[in-house]
Amino acid sequence: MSSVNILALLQAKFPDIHPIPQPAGQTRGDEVYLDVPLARLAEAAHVLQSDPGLAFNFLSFVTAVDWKTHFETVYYLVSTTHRHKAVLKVKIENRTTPEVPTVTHVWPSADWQEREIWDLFGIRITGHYNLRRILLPDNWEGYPMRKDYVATPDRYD
Amino acid sequence: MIDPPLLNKAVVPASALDVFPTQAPEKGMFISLGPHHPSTHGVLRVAITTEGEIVTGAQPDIGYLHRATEKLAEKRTYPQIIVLTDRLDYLAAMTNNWSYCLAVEKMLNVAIPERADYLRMIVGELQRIASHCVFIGTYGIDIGAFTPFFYSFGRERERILDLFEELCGARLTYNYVRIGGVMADAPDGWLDKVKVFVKEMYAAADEYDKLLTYNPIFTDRTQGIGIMTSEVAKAWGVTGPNLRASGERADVRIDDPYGLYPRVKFDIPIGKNGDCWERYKCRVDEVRESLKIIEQALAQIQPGETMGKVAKYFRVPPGEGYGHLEAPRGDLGFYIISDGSPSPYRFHIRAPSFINLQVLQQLLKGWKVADVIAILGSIDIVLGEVDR
Amino acid sequence: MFEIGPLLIQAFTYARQFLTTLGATPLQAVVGIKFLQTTLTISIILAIPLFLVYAERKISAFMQARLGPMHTGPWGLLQTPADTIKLLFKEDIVPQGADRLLHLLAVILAAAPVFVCFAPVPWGTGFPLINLDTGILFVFAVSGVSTLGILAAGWGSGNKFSMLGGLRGAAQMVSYEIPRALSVVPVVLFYSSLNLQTIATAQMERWHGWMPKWFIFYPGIGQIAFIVFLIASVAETNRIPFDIPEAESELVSGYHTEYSGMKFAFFFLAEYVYVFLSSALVTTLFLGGADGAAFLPSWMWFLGKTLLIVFLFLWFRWTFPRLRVDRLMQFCWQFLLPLALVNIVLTVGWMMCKTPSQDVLPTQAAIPSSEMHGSPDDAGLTKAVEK
Repeated sequence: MSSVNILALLQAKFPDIHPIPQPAGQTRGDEVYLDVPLARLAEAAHVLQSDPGLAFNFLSFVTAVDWKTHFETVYYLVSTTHRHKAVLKVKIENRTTPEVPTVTHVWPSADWQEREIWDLFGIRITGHYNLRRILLPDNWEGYPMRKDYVATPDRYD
Repeated sequence: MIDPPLLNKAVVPASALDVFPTQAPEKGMFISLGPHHPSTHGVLRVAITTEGEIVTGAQPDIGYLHRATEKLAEKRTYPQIIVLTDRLDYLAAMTNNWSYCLAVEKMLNVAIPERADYLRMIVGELQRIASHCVFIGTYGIDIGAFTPFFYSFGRERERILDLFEELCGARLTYNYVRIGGVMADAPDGWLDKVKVFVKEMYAAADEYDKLLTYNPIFTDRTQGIGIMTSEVAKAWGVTGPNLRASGERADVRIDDPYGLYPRVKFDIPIGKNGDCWERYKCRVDEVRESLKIIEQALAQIQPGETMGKVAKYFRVPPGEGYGHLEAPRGDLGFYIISDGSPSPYRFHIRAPSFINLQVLQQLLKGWKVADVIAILGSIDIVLGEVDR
Repeated sequence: MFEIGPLLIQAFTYARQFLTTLGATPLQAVVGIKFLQTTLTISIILAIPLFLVYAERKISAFMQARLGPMHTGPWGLLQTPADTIKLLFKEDIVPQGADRLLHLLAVILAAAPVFVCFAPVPWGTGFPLINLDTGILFVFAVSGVSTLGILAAGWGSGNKFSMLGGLRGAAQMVSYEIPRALSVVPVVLFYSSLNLQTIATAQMERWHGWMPKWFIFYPGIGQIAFIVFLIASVAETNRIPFDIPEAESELVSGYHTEYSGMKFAFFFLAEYVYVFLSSALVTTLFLGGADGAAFLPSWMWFLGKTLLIVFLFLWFRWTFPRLRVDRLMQFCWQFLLPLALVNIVLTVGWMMCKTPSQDVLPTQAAIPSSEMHGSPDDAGLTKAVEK
């Protein structure tokens, strides 16, 4: 299924999901890049998984990026039946208490990956059944993957 | 017999107490297969609640080997990160390097010379065989058979490691596959040695079958245990031989071909039931398929360049790229966001063992305590990849 | 040739006479001799694990494409004494939550009975320590006490994993005692005696002048009994494929996790002595005991056959994975037990089909009465008591 069809199917239901155009001079893969507003993520996830034309049944990974002015969570989706891929990017403007809804109801494989986002970035995943630190000890303070995290200097610093 | 529930549907537990009881349950026992345990393949803690012999809840507890690779990578230049990737899945370092280089090469748009690609394929498949040899040996020990370990780990894998040492000087963390090609060409006679090894490995794979695979005690302990249907596997994001044992025909080498895999003919072993024995058998059969690939690559390889045109100090143009391949443990991918500087802005590792491990929360329920080790072993995790 | 039996009998007779000249009454002399014999036997039996541990390490190494101990002494021969000395020096740690008395008692209960069981085993002509008329029954009864030891070890360690291991061990050992005993019933019926010396000597005859009449060669009944007894013995000694109680990768060593130093050494010792005892029983009951051609002394034949069975035990350990505990029990109760029962019926059938003139009951008269009573000290004891 071509990217145009995916977009058409999605925008019929969610008019405010836009594709992210490839910035000039930038390299990118052949996936469909979609900018999903935070409020629409939960419903869009359901539609992306259940709609037979889209059928994104496999979540490859979930991760987060700290852009210094805002956060962004990235969801890489694959459809094993139609063999197309999509990358969802969700902007989170709130830097003091960032929150994003969980997608474990749709793709259970997001379970530990969302816990990792909470652990390393401090982005609270609302609706997650077991939001605890996973990689760092339970009493760790701070969120290391944030760009403003003060770490002990590395020899490469 | 017990009737393990939740077989056909992946069910995310309803609450945290479901998977991580903070105190001992009223009925039953709370066992912690602690970080120090001969069978957890690294520092992993699995907290299990049992009722008699039946497991009622399981929660793997990880993080004992977390080394902050993703944060470290933001301070290193792209070639320096290859050394970090070696140490993720330390039993399959070649495929780690290769996956990372695929991601960077996609963003750089550089062409890889053919000989380099053939060499990458040969070492990648040799690495797959070595990793599966470790699995066969250690899984045998988990089940109680001590001898196959010495054959697979101490004989065959040693030969592969000797080959690698001749090729790039290292036995475990190779740093061989570089951005744009490979580090060095194969020394004289190396390819012939690989040919000799391939013949011996065919015989060795048959020996493992005779000794372990069809041993009635082994099949008794692994067949029908830890059944994972393909819906459950796909929903939990399981990849690699675990997914293929459940009957799903999914392999990155076929779905998303990379390198020169379209030029070689090979089969993908697919299982039917998704039990422990099928996961084990898929890996043994994959060894044979890897041998076929190596033979074809050895026949097709021609002399040539081993490094593409990549500047010594290069900067990756701004953008993002995702490169993935079929590592011995599953779908290993690297997601890199670059802002034009010599270091990546964001470096994320899609680690197959990390994502495969979470299926244990559902998979262990309903089985006996004696099966926990068998099921955990059959998922074949490496803690370096789980914790990064 | 070098028949030790008569030499030992001579030596002990001299010793008894010597003691009598020292002023001891005949009863005291006999008791003294018995004490000496017991000490000697236990010392020899204690030396067996030294040899067996080394053999196990070397044999397992060769099966696994490696060399085994090579460093300490020529070909690693001094490895086991070195390990023993090391274990002697280790600190004896008793966990805080453990029952100290039970912790110690468990070792004794697990190790001591096996030594006693060696008494009625016939090593060669004129050899068993005691000529016990209830030989095999005595062995089974006393070796069952070591089950208590495992249970005590599991509970007394104060550790969940050890307790699980101890419970499983006790269940396994108690269950497998039944097929083991039942598989010996055909032998007992056949030779109509529980006396191990009688059973061994009865197998010294020959068919057609050359084929030894060992029980294992009797078609059907001999082989089934041998196999059932062998498998049940492997299970009794907690060896792989039946070593769930002490499985290293399952429950971190099971019931002897919390034992260190000499106590741990004793558990190990007990296991190897038990293996040797089981092999000696197999040899006596099924392989004719000390029977063999005359070019080797009888005790060498006995030792050789026993070591062959020991090799089988070792071979099993390094070849097979271990059975899961419920399958283990299923195997015992649903397969071995019915098989042993069927074998008893078959044996009785065989015995009924043969007339007494054929080779059913070995002629008691063939055994000279002087050898019927193994050590002449028994005769001496009877005489002494009569006095």
